[in-house]
Amino acid sequence: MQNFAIIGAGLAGATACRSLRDQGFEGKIFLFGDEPYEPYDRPSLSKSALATKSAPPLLMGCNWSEEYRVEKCLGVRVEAIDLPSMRIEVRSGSDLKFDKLLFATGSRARSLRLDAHSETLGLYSLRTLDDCVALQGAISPGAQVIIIGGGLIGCELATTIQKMGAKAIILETANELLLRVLGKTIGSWCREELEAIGVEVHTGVSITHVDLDPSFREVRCGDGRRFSGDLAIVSVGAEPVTDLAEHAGLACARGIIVNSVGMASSDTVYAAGDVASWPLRSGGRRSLETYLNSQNQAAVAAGAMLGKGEPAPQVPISWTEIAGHRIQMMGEVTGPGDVVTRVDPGGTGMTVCRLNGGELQSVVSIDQTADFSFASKIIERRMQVDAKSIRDPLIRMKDVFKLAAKTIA
Amino acid sequence: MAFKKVCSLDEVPEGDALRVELFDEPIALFNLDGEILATQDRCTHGDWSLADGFLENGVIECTLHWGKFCVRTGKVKAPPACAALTVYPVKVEGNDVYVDFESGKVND
Repeated sequence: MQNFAIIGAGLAGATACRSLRDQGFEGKIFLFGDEPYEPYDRPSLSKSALATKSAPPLLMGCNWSEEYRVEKCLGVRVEAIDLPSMRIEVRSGSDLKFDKLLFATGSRARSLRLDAHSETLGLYSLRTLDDCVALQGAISPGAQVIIIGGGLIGCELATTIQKMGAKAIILETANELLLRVLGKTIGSWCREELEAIGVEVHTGVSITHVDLDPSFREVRCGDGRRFSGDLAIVSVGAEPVTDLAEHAGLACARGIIVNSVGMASSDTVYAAGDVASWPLRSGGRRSLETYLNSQNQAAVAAGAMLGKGEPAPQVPISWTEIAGHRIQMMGEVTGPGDVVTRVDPGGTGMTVCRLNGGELQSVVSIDQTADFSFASKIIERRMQVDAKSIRDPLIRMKDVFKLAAKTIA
Repeated sequence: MAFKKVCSLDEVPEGDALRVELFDEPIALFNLDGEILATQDRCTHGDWSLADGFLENGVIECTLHWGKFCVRTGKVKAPPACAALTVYPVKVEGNDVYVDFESGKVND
């Protein structure tokens, strides 16, 4: 009987377990997670779980490990992987021989580069359930919370902190929020919406020094500006957790380098989720840091472990909740072509598309789930669309899709 | 058995869906090649409207996490969804669509 080992019990790890069984794998599955918890919904940590000071939803049903016959090793740190002898070493000294291995170790919160005199007491980050519980305890109504970094997590946190009756202050290095993931149009729209719910936003700020012990309570910038707060949360991005893979000798460059079925350097080792630097449909490769792509990669890699993986170059797809708005995105926001903004005539939402040579390259929707649903299908299937209809917000994306489908038929 | 008028037929064109908020729980109506079917509108996985989703070959795909359900039986067609949708009896008389909300059921 074969032994499959999965390292990392987040979304990618749990999805891979399910996919292996769904695709008929009959051997043993060992799932290692360094957090001592059942697989949980990580996106909730910056949203509902923090806001309501509750536990995040679990990813699997209560008897899932019996149902899927998974040997769970939760709260167990894998110390090393010996690829030539195909062994996993864990702290307790015991080790496991595997036939196939999947890395699903995810990413960790990037830390801030500070000067040597910084006092990091009161400096938080958010990645794990323990981080979330620490923040639940630290944020009380009326508190002043400095958020260092105005990306997705920073903006989600600001939304949640205001909801908790505290005051959020975002400090962002770039000259607009969310630039990297959502582009300038949506970034500045989100800044205005966050300001409208009481968030203070400062852009062009680079933090060099933090002093959050009770007597100082401030963060200092490179240009001498100071901001005071009761606590600060660092949300300056994530880094794939590749330590084990690198030590094992696997090729890594901001993620484990895998092909479009998730296979690393040999057909015994695979990676999926944030830890994988996975090929993109638009060319190049990277760690995508999204829920839906992690889920898809895990299912594809599980298939590949069974010798039946269909190549799946990825198109980034994600969603977020900022200042009470649901924002969904797909594709590469920046690139050649025209940017078309469709403003919802009947509401507050909008959809921003990038169109190049009759093909929709990216779509970002604010409170336009119906439009997004069809736009994402147009992108997924690489349908040729009528640019004039895309430019007319009165024509629903559903009808653009139907027209494009008819053209194919 | 109490059928209640929920909309007119032309509000749900072929291949389209409509969200209706007339009962304790919002429902979604789907037009499959002229046949009207009704399910609960809220995805059983996340709090998200299915009527906004993508309908193809009798399967609705939620726009949030890509869970899929058969709109005829309510059964799950793709994870991460794991619980089936409640489906409701529908009848069409002339141009009027009726739904019996109390007789909604979940197929195992």
